[in-house]
Amino acid sequence: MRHYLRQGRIGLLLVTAVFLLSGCGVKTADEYRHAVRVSCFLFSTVDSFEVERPFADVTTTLKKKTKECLDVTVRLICTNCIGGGESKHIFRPTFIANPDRTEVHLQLKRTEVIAIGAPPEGAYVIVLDAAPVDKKRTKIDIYRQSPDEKFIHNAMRGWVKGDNMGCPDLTTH
Amino acid sequence: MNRIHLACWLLLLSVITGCSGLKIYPNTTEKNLLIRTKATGSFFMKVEVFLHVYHLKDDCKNDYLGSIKLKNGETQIGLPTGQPTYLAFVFRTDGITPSTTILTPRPGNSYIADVTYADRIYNFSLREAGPRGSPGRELERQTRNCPDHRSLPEYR
Repeated sequence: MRHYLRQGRIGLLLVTAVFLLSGCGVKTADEYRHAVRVSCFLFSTVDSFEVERPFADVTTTLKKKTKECLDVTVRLICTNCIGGGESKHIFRPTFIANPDRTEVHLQLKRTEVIAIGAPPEGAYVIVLDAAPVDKKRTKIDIYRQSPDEKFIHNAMRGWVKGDNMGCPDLTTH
Repeated sequence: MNRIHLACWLLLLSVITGCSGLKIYPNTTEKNLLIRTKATGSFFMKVEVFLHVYHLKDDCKNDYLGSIKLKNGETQIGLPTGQPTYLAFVFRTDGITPSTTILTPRPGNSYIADVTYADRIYNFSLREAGPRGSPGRELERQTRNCPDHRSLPEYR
């Protein structure tokens, strides 16, 4: 896990708990996929496409980039807060590889927020599925809840296509 | 008068270094690392790129040698050869995002680093330069195996 710092933004960092209802009661990756497909979230998107790369190559890339780019803790330091001012945004990636399917899930836990109904590892941010089409092609599905995650989505597209290995800057999320 | 001069110089120095407390990397040894930087922000977000250089004593101990602010384009850096150097490319936006590797430059070799930031996606790759300027092999990024993250440097 790598550590990231973030300068405090103007405004109050709420030390008191903020209660949020977890969107659509999503607790698992399957429920997240379903919620995105039925547009439970406003502006949610499913991006489905095929890439001209073997499934094994795509899986190797996803494994490497998941560890390198998504296992991130953002430390927020607020300089003008009442009652102190440090919190964390903990991004928790999950990588699952099976012979016929690879999955990447990204969850986010904000320590300054108590999200009622959310999974303990944090709310789902984005989910990617990869499956073999034939020996040379792989089918990709990316489930995204909101436009704010588009840069993560774009980074994942670059990984699976093999044309951009950049990491999303999660401090800007 | 001398004190006034000294105060003026210190004031000027603090303005040049952005009052950030960053030590400027001396960059006096033979140039063996070419950094090609391309960072674009947006109307709402400014992006600055810094390189922090550390001499690595072991996985968890290091000496901070200094920093260089990277402007778009090419920058030549001289790194000490034969010793492990911890390179931290740091992207400053609202946040601070490091991308790091360890390089032990070999005497007589030169290296090329490509550093990019665009559309909230950052990237960094390092390769050994081939003979007569040809592109050489890409170097795998190396990470520190330090169990205690508090021992890692705090990036600024």
